[in-house]
Amino acid sequence: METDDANRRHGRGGLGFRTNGHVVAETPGDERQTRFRERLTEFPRERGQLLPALWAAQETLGWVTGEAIVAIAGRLRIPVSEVDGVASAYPDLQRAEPVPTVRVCSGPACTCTGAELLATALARGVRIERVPCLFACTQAPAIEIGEHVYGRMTVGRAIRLAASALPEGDER
Amino acid sequence: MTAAIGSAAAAWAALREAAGTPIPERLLVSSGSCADSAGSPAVLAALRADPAVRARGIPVVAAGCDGRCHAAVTVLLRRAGKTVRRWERVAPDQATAIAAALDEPADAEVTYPGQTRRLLRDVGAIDPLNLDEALRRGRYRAFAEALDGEPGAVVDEIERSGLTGRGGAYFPVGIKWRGCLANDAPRYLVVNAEEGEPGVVKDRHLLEGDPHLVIEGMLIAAYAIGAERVVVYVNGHARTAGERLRRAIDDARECGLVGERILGSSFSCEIALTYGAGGYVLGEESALLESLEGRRPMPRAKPPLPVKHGLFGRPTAINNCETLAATAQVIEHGAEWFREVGAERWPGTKLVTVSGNVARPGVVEIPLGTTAREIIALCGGASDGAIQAVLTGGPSGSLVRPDQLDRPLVPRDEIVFLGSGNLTVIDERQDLAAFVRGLAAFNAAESCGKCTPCREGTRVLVDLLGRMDAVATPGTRAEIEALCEVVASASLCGLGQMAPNPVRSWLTHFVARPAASEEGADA
Repeated sequence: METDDANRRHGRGGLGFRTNGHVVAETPGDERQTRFRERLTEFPRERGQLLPALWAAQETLGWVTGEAIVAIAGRLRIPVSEVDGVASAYPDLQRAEPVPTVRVCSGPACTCTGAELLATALARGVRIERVPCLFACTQAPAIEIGEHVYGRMTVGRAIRLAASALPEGDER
Repeated sequence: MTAAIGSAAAAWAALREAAGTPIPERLLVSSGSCADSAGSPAVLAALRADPAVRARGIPVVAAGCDGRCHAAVTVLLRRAGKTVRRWERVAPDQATAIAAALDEPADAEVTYPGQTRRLLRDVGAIDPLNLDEALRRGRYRAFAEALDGEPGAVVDEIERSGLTGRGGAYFPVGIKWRGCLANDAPRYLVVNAEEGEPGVVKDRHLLEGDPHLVIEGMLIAAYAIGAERVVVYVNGHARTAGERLRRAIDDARECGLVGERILGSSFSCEIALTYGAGGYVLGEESALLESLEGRRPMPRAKPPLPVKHGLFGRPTAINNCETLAATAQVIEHGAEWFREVGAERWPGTKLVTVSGNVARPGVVEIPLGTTAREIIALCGGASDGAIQAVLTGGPSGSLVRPDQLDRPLVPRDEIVFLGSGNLTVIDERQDLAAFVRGLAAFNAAESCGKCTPCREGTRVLVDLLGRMDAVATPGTRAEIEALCEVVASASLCGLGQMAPNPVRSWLTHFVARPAASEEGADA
């Protein structure tokens, strides 16, 4: 298809990575790269596979890298710019290497049950991010570390959890 | 599309026969998005490892949550199809005590007073991943019988039941399906399990606790509209719900309930599952279709409606997962049974998520027309202090005063917005103005940016609300109200149109009150 040819002309076709100013990024380990490329070859060349392919990148590589965007574009025959545009539309897709962060829910239930106190207390020791909702509304207030959501949080418990889950020296 | 007479029901009976007899005694541990955040995996492991539990040979099952999330982690003892004991807020070190209590006499059935548990009947009380058990409970029987009849009979029954969409729009399901059937095959069924609305977790409970009920509803709906492809769109954060659903679909496929020539009939149907990756806008059904097609999730201009021009341009019915669970029950028990409960114009039950400053947050099932006050009372009332306000219907719902809580909860009420069914209780200690600014900021941040009134309007609204004494200044207040009107009337999709709701209801019901807080001293 036309897009695929365009990509090939620019040296970005298929799975051959080429980094240009826009998509250059830190590269996860070779082994993970290989695993991602293998997974990608299993995807049918259909546009509807775009979001599943982006998830595959995040799951395999840890985040959606610039190279992954280019590779997915090549596999699914979609312009790189469009893949990039779609990826940027989803808040749950990471576009940079994840840094250890405590996500503090700022949904309505958590707001009413002291989430802001948690956020303020945690921010003194670790990197925090306020997220719209962790969907543990019946266990409010909730925080998320890595992929685990913890409910019924108190300031003391949150600080202990953050200290044990996040690497030392990540103070800011 | 006519099924061979008699064959599907006979095939189901054979499956049921092979499913064997019930397990006499079991322990069920609540496990799912709510219970896991309260430490369910550790409780499960401790019970399974407990020597007394092992010696007794009593199975320990990871079940869904029965809706009393406040009590998580719960352990239920089930004997002969009844819940005879229930432990609440269980910690891993209680495993031995629970094991020791198993020999104590227990036969009083645990009940859920005040609720009408239909969709939730088995949620929490069964092994969600056991297809044999689902068959023993009669799951897929109504589907098999429907396969032996005409698809039109299913649509007729649903129409008679008056079932409306439980995702928040309450559009009559029968009319949607007829609209879809008016267009040529191939047609699609898209199942909306995106549930990305802060404060709402009812679809997760259903999928985590009874996935086969939802799958049966999907199959019945697919048969009714002649869809051979079903796509389930699950919230990317609801992995437990999604993985249980995926396993249940695989089990059903293995038994010939999903796939080619289901139960020996001429009906074939494949179910695929896909995950979202966040974004409130996915609650808009055409944005969800865009996402499935690999585009940025942004609403489409309507018409054409999805029933005419939906997924990949094909006629598509989009139904919420609670709606499909209700569909299965309407076909199982009949339209008359369904209409036995609920409000006159709005029959049936509704799942409601209750959270915030409430004593016992959780998911309850009540007949439509129940008042918010009754629901909050079911959940133990306010946890601490008096109720200042209740947010109904999520971040683009409405703020309701305590004296307005006696209105029956029905769709399209001008004061209490039901939406997809949630109540967030806000007590008097909270700063309501800040709460409203938070909701406005959420709606601004989640605007997809496609249309100007929503993209720009919601942002300006946040700025205006952030001004010192904004609503006490007549000029600013008038500006806010005018802007709300513009966003509500000129936005492209329902989400934009509803975005000013919390601000408007706050101004109407709270700020203009003569005896309100200082901010309310409107000139």
